[in-house]
Amino acid sequence: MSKPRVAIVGASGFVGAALIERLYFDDAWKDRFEFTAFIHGFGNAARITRLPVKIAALDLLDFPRVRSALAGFDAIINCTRGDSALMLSGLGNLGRAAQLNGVRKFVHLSSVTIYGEDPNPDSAHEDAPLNPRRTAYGDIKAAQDEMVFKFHGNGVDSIILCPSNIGGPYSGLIIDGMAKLLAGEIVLVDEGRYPTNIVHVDNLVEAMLVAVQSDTGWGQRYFVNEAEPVTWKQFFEDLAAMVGIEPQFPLVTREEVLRHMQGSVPAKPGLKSQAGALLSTEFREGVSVVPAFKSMNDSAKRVLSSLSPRWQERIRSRITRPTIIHPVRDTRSLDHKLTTVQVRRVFHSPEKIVRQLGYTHLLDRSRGMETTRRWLEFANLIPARSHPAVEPHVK
Amino acid sequence: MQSTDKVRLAFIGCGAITRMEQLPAALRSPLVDVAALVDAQAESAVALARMYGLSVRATSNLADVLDDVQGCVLATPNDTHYPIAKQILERGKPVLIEKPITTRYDHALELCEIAEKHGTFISVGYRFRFFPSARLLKKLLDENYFGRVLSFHCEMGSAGGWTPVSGYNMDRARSGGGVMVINGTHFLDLAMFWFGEPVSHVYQDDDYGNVEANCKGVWSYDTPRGQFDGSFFFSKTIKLSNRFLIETERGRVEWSAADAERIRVFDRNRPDVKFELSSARRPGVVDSFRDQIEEFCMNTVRPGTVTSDGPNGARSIRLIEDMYRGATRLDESWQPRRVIG
Repeated sequence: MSKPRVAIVGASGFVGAALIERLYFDDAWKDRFEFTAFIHGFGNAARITRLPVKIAALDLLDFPRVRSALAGFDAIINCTRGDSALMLSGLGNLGRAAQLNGVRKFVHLSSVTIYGEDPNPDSAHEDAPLNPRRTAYGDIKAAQDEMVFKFHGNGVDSIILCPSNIGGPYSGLIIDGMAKLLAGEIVLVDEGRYPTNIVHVDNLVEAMLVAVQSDTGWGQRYFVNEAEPVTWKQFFEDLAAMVGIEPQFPLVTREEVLRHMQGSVPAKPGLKSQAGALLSTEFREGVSVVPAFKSMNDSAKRVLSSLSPRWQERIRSRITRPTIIHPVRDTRSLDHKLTTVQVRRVFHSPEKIVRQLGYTHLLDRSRGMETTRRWLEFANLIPARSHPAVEPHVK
Repeated sequence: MQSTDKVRLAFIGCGAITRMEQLPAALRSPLVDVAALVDAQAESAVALARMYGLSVRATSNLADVLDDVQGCVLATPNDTHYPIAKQILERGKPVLIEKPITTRYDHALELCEIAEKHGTFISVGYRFRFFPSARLLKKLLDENYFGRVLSFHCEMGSAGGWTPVSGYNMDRARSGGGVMVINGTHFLDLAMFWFGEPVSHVYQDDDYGNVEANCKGVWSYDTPRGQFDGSFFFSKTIKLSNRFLIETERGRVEWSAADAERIRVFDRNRPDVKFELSSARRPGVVDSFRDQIEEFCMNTVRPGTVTSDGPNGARSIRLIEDMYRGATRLDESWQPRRVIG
């Protein structure tokens, strides 16, 4: 019997590349599928182009090519990220091509950002209503989820997997977290007591593979998370232990961070301010490279200088914009993502995916941190504990 | 050479490096007369000429322009360096070849022989040698200013990055290798510039059948001033610091690819002070691509020193070939690998 043909779209990204590596390295999945890694371009694909796997470039915004590329596949796993055009129009093209080509299964990677930056307590489970107060990214992911449910309604069995933060090797959150930890810039919100919702990338990959071969549970959204909540304090202490330090974390309250998040939205400039910008010396000098503007500017200057000093001063005082001096950055990093992410209090339980799809965690917390440590050592981001012994090759 | 004596150059290969670096550098130079653009796809040459408003010959046929130019800048996929450079050198014209010189050592040697036979020369695009900081470091090392070199570590890496138009860098047959050839070769060349050729090496990478994304290893040196090791790490998946850290008797010396003018010294006797050294003679705006093209032009008119010549490029390829031959796998013990059966 031939193996199911799976198209992995967005295969050069953080999650996509981890999925390709798993399918290549792990005997448990190695020969289950015949897969093709679809990537947007080769610039970021080095992690998978080192492997002898089938790779093809695909522009998701080019529907005829998408349709042709996906012909003959049984399933699609979508790991793409990008701008809103790619995430919405690209996903639309994927879904339409799947439908027209008779693709049977579609696994889509969503995000808990659909529940907002400060999710309600009922979002511990997937059936909670989505929070309308979201970031722009959350809005796009929510719109994507709606599209995927429509694909399902149109005959392409679909599953939405919903991780929160993703950890493990190559995780930006881990790289950033370790760098900030070493720089002494980590703060704990409410003593770091809230759950991280960091799922190890290899556990997320396991969930994707379990989903794509599932016979049941389609047309549903599933949280993918570690089995038990891990607090931010535990998480940063785990990272600190990797480098043998015992940091004293500055503490801030959740209310302080929320206030800071609300206050950090830049005010939209008013009409007067915008008009002032148009009349500013910098703007006028900039546009004066165009002869017509230069001539207008010179004329305006002549008119102004012909007025009495009193009138010149009155006009200048009306159009001059105030000089805004911003305070130096708060050293407690209130606006950093690793701080703002700590205000989320809800643990998005993976109970449903375990119960309905039979998912089991590949790595428990200690093994997950161990693989993370090994990768950080490999990446020279923390000192290696030991070097593998190798014999020199003498010419 | 007089500043009015412009050297007529043809640019072979109109991909990303020519479009973004070599051609703009040539246009900034008062010594260069861009005479022709050549690309296997003639429309790429035409588009590039239009992009920079150039009224020059834009063609797919190198033979058409060779008689009309004094030298060529070659920036095509690595596997084409050998046949194209051979054609240029056999006409007695010099060629500046983007690194690596070729994908094979025997081809590199053959090109050097052809250049010598026809009384011309090869320059290889190792532009870091043109950084005033790299030259200053060589001078200070040669003068034993820092005392004995005890060891060094160098690393260069980015998460993704440079994407040649043709995508040839993802194909070993065309590129000659992965991150070692594409990026690491720059730092290998610098190490050869400063310390000479290593006597032995250890090399590991993560290639499973195509081109490596990461490689690590050690080069060992035996110099008149002592023996030492230098470790390296080159990556196409991880952002690294892009620098050399050289441990010397005097202290740690840091050279960074991000600073073309200065080197930093952390003196053992003054751990509280960071010293920054730069040439007393201010270099003005550092423009390494232009500097190399101008050196190439000057050598075209009157033979002199070629900072990175053909034999140097050949030595580099010999070492890379040797490393690939003795390659072992990098440890990736973070990968979940369940062995079934």
